[in-house]
Amino acid sequence: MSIDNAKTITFISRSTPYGHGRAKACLDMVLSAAVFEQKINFIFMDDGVWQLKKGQTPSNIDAKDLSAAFAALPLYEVNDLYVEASAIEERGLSLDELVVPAQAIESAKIAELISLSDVVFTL
Amino acid sequence: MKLTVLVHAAPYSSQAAYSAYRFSASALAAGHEIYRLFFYYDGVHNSNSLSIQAQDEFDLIAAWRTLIDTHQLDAISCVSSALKRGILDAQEAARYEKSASNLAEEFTLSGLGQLVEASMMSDRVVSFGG
Amino acid sequence: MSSLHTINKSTAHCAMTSCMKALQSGDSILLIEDGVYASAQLSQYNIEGVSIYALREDLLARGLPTTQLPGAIQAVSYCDFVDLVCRHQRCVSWT
Repeated sequence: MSIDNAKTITFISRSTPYGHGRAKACLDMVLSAAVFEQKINFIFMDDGVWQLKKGQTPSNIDAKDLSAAFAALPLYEVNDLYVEASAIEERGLSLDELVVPAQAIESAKIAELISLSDVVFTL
Repeated sequence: MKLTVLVHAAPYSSQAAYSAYRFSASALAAGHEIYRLFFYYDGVHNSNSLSIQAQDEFDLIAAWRTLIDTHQLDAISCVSSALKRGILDAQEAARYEKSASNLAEEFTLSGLGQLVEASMMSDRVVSFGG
Repeated sequence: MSSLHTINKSTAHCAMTSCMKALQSGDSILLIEDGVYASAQLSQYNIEGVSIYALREDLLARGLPTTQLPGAIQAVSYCDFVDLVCRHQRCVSWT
């Protein structure tokens, strides 16, 4: 697929990593879009920020480690990771506790990223 | 306009898949083109030909099949989502040595790349789920 | 470059508050499915410059009024839903 018709696709992930399958489903969409060399924004809102917490050992519940996959995102040229600042604060998390460097953004910036996107997926 | 519709909810568990159907039918009636219907995650249950409805309930899967057939739509169920949920076409059933296949014939199993490609080729993408 | 935001949950879920954060002036909200239950509560949010619609079939199904809705919310058909999608540059679904 030619990069000439690359689009800006924003993914908004709002689900916890293991309670149900949406977080993994969203990540799979991101990786597929990356293969097609689309411009990708990956935003974590609400409970979605839990996906990035360090120290997850999902082998305890026979689940694949989602957080390990995030570390591989730069290999797919997915570098624009954002977390909703208030979601981090409300959950008593800090940016140091995240498995990947993500930019903490206010809601106005989320609105702006959406307004600059061709397609937005929320899962 | 050229539209792609993403469905990531199962029929009957929530209203979302029904909404996607009504939206798609309305878009076609208004003269728009549906570039692709993409069924992802729990949405693949919309392509299960073995689903049976009570006679006095709306048969959403039959409605999808008629819509797809009438308008010759490109309807794809995500292959990885489908296999996990026991939605198989004959080829996958043979590959995994399963005793039956159940993908409705109006649908095709394919990868998420088909959703990305549809996003690139369509004027709008509308998602239904949750 | 305006967006159409669909909301399909009542206010008991965070779909509504999350959507509110992502709005820009000129955007529109379309309440569908259980989102139509929020038509009464939407006026508590400060959403200047945002038009709000609710899907008529979903209002009727739930015994909610389709005229004189609070906060200038307009009841629309599925056909209008399609038009709204076309009139905005992108569609964001909050679930």
